[in-house]
Amino acid sequence: MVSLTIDEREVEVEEGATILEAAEAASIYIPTFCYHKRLMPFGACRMCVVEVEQMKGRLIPSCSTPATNGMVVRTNTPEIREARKTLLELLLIHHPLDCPVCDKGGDCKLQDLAYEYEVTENRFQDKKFDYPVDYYSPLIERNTNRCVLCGMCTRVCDEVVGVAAVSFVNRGFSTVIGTNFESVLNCEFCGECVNICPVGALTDKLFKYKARTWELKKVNTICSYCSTGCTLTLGVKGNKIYRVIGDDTIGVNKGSLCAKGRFGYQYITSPERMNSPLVKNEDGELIRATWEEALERVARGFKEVRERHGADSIGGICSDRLTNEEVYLFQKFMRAAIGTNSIDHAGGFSYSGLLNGLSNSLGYAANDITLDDVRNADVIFVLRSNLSETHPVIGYQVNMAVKMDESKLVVASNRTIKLNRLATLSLTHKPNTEITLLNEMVRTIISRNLYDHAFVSSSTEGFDELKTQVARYSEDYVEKITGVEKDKIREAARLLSQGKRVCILISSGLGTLSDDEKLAQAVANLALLTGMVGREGSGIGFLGEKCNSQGALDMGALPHLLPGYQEVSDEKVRGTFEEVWGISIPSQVGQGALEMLLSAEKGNIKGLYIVGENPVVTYPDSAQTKKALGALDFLVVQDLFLTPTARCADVVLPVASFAEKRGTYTNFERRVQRLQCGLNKLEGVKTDLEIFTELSLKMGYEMKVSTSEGVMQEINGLVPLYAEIKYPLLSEEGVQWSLPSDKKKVSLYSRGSPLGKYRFIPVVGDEMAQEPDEEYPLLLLTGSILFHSGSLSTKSPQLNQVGSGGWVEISPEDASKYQLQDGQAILVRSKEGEINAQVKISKKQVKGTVFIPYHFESQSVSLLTSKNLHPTFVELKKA
Amino acid sequence: MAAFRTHMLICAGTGCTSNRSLKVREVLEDELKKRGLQNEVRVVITGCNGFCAVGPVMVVYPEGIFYQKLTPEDVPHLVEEHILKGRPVTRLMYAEPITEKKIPLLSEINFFSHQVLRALRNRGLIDPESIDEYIARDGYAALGKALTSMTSEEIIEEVKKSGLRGRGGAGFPTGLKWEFCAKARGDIKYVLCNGDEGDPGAFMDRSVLEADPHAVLEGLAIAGKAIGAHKGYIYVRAEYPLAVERLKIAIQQAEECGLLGEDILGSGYNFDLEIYPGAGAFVCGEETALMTSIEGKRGMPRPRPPFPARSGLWRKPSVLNNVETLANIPQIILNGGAWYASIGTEKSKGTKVFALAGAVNNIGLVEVPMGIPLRSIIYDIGDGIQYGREFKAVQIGGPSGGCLPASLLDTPVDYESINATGAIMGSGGMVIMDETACMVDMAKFFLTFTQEESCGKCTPCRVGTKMMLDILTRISQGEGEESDIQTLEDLAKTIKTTALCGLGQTAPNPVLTTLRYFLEEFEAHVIDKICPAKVCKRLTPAPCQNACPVGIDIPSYVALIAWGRYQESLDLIREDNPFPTVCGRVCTHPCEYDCKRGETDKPISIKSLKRFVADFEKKVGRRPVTPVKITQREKVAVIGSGPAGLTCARDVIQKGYAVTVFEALPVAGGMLTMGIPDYRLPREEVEAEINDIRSLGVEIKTNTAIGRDLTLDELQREYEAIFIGVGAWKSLKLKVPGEDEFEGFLDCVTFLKNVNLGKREKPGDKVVVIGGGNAAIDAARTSIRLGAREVNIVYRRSRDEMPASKEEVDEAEHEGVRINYLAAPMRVLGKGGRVTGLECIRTELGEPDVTGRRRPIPIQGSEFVISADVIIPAIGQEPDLSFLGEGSSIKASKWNFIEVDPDTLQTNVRGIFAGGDAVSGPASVIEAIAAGQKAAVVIDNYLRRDELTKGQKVPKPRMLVDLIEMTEEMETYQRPEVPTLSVEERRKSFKEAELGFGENTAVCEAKRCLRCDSGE
Repeated sequence: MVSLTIDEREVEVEEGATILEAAEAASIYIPTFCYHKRLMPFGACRMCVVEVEQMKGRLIPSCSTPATNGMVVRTNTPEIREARKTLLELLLIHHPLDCPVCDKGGDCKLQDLAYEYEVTENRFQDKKFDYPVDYYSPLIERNTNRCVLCGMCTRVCDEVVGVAAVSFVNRGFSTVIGTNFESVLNCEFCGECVNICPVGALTDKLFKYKARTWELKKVNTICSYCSTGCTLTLGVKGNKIYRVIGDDTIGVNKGSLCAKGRFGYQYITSPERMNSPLVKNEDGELIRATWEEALERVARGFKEVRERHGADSIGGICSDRLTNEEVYLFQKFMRAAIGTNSIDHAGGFSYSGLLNGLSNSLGYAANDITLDDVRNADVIFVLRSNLSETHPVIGYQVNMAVKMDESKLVVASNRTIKLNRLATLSLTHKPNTEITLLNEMVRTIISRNLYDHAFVSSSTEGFDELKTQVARYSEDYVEKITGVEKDKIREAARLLSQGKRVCILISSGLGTLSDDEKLAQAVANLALLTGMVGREGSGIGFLGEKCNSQGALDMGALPHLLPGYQEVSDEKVRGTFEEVWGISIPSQVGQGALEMLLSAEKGNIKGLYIVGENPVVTYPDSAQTKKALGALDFLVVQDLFLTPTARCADVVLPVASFAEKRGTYTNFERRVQRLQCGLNKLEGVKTDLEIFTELSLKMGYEMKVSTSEGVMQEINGLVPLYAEIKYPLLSEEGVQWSLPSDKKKVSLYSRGSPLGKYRFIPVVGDEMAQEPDEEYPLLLLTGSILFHSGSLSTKSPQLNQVGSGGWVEISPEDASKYQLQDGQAILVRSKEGEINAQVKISKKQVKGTVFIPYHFESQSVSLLTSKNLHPTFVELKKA
Repeated sequence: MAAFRTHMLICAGTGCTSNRSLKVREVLEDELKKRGLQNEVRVVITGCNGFCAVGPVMVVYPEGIFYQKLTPEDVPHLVEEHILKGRPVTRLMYAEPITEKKIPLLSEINFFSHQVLRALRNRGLIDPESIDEYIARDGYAALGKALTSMTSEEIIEEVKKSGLRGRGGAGFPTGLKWEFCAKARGDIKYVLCNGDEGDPGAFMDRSVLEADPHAVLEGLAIAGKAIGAHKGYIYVRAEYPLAVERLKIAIQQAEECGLLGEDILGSGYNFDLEIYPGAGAFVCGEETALMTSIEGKRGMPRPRPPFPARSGLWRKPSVLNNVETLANIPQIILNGGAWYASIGTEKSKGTKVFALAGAVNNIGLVEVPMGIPLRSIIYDIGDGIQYGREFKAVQIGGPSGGCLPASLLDTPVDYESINATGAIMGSGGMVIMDETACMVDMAKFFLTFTQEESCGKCTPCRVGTKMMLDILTRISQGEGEESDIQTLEDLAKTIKTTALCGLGQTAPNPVLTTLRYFLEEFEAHVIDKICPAKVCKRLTPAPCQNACPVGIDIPSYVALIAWGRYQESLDLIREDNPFPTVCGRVCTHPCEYDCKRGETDKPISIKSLKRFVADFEKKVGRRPVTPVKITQREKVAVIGSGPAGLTCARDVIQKGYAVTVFEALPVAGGMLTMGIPDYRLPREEVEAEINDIRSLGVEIKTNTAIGRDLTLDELQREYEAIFIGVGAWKSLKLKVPGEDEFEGFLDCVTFLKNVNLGKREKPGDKVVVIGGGNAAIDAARTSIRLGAREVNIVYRRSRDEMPASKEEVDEAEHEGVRINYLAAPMRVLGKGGRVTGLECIRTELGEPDVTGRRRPIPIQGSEFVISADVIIPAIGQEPDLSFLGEGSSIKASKWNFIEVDPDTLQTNVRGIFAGGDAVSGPASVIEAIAAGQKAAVVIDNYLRRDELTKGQKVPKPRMLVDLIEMTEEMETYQRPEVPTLSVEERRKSFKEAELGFGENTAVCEAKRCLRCDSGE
């Protein structure tokens, strides 16, 4: 610790802290423009100058000068005030002073400081800046005239986001912040620059002339897109969201957001949203109905199917965007009111695979790392994940770790991704060879004796089997299979085994196709071998696709597990639930989502309840899905929009969005965070929670709980992992389940594995089974892109503006091989079906593969894929 | 190895190369070969010799003879004389600038003999592209010593002992810097060489890199060993292609010799060097910006701490040293720190290289021991100021440094002493300025540079320097306000204390030092609106305006005519001169002699243009004059209503004082009405202008003679200030025999006055006028008009010396006046009481006399007689001071002129001022007006503040009229002749002889003006 005197007060701070940080710790205010705690010291604005007795003669920038023992600092002498006032005068000479029409008015640092320093007149006069305003960039307006050149946008864009779309241009007085060749922005549109800009130089176009900042009610809630669990601050006026900002004082994201979080909220006010239940009439048309009629119809429909074909002929698929409480009630409805275990969600065939594998190896079906761990890691291994697109804010942490702290980054990917630019080591492998790659790393670590002997011998079992199994690999063989040079694999193994705080990150989602369970076990083997399990700051991070991917699993939206990973087949477990629920629960393990669709086609499933999912667009083999839905006796779809899936339904129930309801989400860190209700519900809709309770009653079963808090209390009693998740304890940081409520940083595995010992589970990849044939020569890769999440985001016009589908990405080699031009219209054909697309030639793509995002209804890649989850091969035909 | 009897060392530095030194070498080698001398004489190419201003230079050994400014054409002669005949060629030697004495030996030339070479020790001696020659002068011996027999600590200790400080400018102790870096944690470290020399006019680093690149390489390798670095970068400006080229060659040679790379000299130490060409941003000379630039980013400084010694290039511990610093290292290691520290001052050891430039006689690169006074560099090495001018200031430290005055010339050159003056040592720029330099302009120049080179990152530097520049620009354009100086200083201090990096922190130095040492010059710009050095264009009148005694804004009034804005033009003239009509006709127009167009063509007809606007007003109707409101209690009396008195009266009343003019004659106007004949200046023209003055409220009491109707004492009682402008009305005597003995002898002034008063009688048939002034011409031409048959003028010098205006003389000759040049009157001949002739003697012109004109010397025996019945001597006048009364307290000179303080025009009596012909003797109208104008200023100051200030108004442009783009047509306009009456008409009448320009002529003529006032 260092102790110093600031403004006659003794202050103690940690070594390495700057004077500014010391002052902040002591609540002594120092004005700044260019300082931000997330960014590296920059020293441009000079507003933070202070006087240091030991460094007389010059004013000292407090933002970049470390506090040292015995330093005597003054922050507010007349000389300092004079200097700051002069600096403000200098900034105000050319600043347009269009505050009355500036969106930043009332929330502007320049305004505030001019006020504070009473800059009532200016000794200097000059013409106002007259740079052209960039009105043409999507989503963001850049007005250079208002810029104070603090450089925050350039730094946040580079140091945090890793894009560097804007930078300093020109020299001397002509210096401005600009884009390459003064083009319009073509960036990730995360709006971090807008959020950090202290003045009105960068503004949110959606917000322009909509409201004054002081009129907005600030509502902190949790983002509904990915599993990062970012806190959003909604700016609400009337019953409308006018903007979303990140507040750097709260949330796991510390104010950072991505394009989806910041600009993707407008689907809430989309005119396409349904505001009335729809019931299919005799002519097969969906017509508006009252809630009473619709719910009646649903209850009757399910009852009829159950009577005719038994409870197991009914299945339920829910979304992992439902809150924990809603998922819980959904599975309760299915199990108690309907009487079936056929419950699943989209994460059920991807994320749950990973977590299942993980729990087999380590004991918990959850991650043991946090966002901070990623930021602070010294080695990060990103595998099979385009993090920067699927989980941008986690991507930021990786970028920051590498850029600011020189952390090592190993990227293994089947196509070139943004993180490759940052990587210490890039392993570009053939698709679906991850397990082999991991096994070779395991072999290298064992054979080079790089593993953690003490940990392996004391805490694991199965090491010898693992050793024997990986011994079959050889460098040359693996190089051939994976396409990765052996030196690189060796180097990756070395880096991982030498890291102190190591994070392995793998994202999952509808687009990812591989043997997830085995992949998780292969990763676990590597983690165990290097002793990173349970080690502080280290761990595996499996990243679910949706905001509540973890919660949906925790809450038992699975055919074999009751909430809290409790086996439905276990009589004792059932007994506990039955006691609380007052009804008996079927013991038979139900069907999974894809299985349900397959059996529906065969006639084994007759009734289906789809909540918030859109399988026609997003599930593999769209044609089959449609056939299956068509074969049903009774289909209920509950959604915000009349999706292609909903259009097949007998009854459609409109629901409230995340901003209109309460409840909790559990992010990838197992952090349970509360949603705050920012808006009154759209007239005519109900929350999923309301629907489940009302419907249940109509089915003749009373849920007994009707509020989200009430539901959580029931969960507290039945799910030991959630025993401590109590609403009053859920402050803005939320609570990570299984942690004691005193919230001290403790590993999930601080008391070792619940399995007793961690298990090495030898696995092998089956990449050899997947070879293209002559007819379908190209492997189809599909997945998420930066601006979308599932199909929900496609209802947000702003996101479509910056990222819409319609293309197929192919490598330049294949483009020339098949004589395709950029932008050319083609037909993509697989065994299952065909779609139209435009060629996009991209160096990101590896030869022999194509990439098509899966979000878009208009270009449903699901028409090409199959439900067996095997790799899909396609051919490209000129249209 | 072959032995040569003579070595000829030709400089191949950038300066000499650009003056074709390589061609000289080529011709030289050919010539030697042609004469079969190639085995006797060796031609060697060397690095920069330093004396770049006289390049291409060559030194011939063994004698050490220094040749300068060589051309390929000089070579055959040089070989013939020097090499074959052993006679060095004096013509090509250096000449001492003042005595112009030739100095054959390099060692005896002041420029070289006062220098002490350490960093430049190999300059001009070795071929920079040959590692062998470097090695032959102990090159790489230091590296060998450092690698094989010294530890890192020992190397650092030796450097610390040497007291070497950073030669880039900041002066941080080099050894200490190395020690910090050596102790910093980290496996990878870097050593960097800063060759991003960007100061305007400085080329120390370039010269070292070009002349002795291996010294820098060796210094870097030693530094690398000392701090534990294995990789070094040399950051050189891409604008130094020769330096880059020589470095490349040097690195390659060193690598081939195993002096760089793996396992150097078997010591196990590896060291690689890379050249990084900088793109020419001045800020990249700042160490953190330089590192950012090498990292491939925009060269912007980073905050320090962390200091580079801990976290530098790629955040690894790094040491950055300047080229010159590194060039010193090998010798320190070889000869020991103590050796190095043996010269210099207590805290500044060794030597410093300066690029001496500017107004000094010897320009070039010099290396001097620390502690040497500035004076010695400028006067001993630099051989003083060019053209015998006065030293004014020395800018030391480039744009980051300061400007020091003559009073600080004895400041020793060491870090502390220079810092104490407000300047900095800097990297070694030294620009000498003489009296023709303007300090505001100088500050502006450097600020323009730093302002443009600011990286734009921190607010004070980016905006602050721009605002300083704006203020300076305003000041230099005469738009400065008194508060600007304070604002400038306050802003400069804020920038200095708050800027991020060295560039911003030092950018205000030139301004702060000039404010400190040359404040009065700023005040002259701001308060007096003048640029004393006549550099700032907007504060420096155009040559014509400068030449005008009353400082009329001539370019503007001429330009207004060109635009057709005649009334504005006339109004502008009247601001300074109440007599545009008069001056448009009779002015001696000194302005036209200084006209720039006159240098290549004929001058603008400024006088006639003035007449044109005055006449134009007459046509459209004279602008009515509004009486001045009398706001002051004090009253002013003016004695004499000539141009001096009336101008004084007008200017005084315009300041709100009541003015009364006393005129002895019945008509106001003095010489204007009574001296100048009507055909030159019609009476009514003068009267109109006098009436304007009356209309302002000036009371003119004619027929009121002081000393006759009123006494001076009485005036003094009633009036708080008195201006005497009585003119010079008494003609001087010829002082020859026969003067005043015969009838027909007329007093010139009286003759003209009487004619003007209406007495138009023929004086006689044969008139002889004696004298060469306008009065003489007037008397002669008047005589013609009054019917004289023969009119002769006798003048003792030639036409060139004649004071009368040229046009007058021309006109007189046209009208039939015979002018006898080079003839002096000897005796007046008479018969019967009447004049019959004048005996004259021929003269020739001898040496100039005190007036600067050549003295006429009579030629004995050349006497001749001009017959005459009337003789009018017009050889000068003196004032008639009888009005002052006997024993007047007002002092007169022995020539009977009133004596005044030349600055204030006050006589020895308080409150009484005098000017015009009464003070100066007969002079021009415009000079009389100037005297009146000057007196008015003084009188106002005297009455208002009871203090006497200089009355001399410094002319300055009153406005800037838009330029008319000069077309080809305008360029070819000829100066028009002024139309006149025919000679016949003229001879008979007193009608105005000159007719003035028509509108079209005037506009075309006005468009010929080159507009020197625009500052472009």
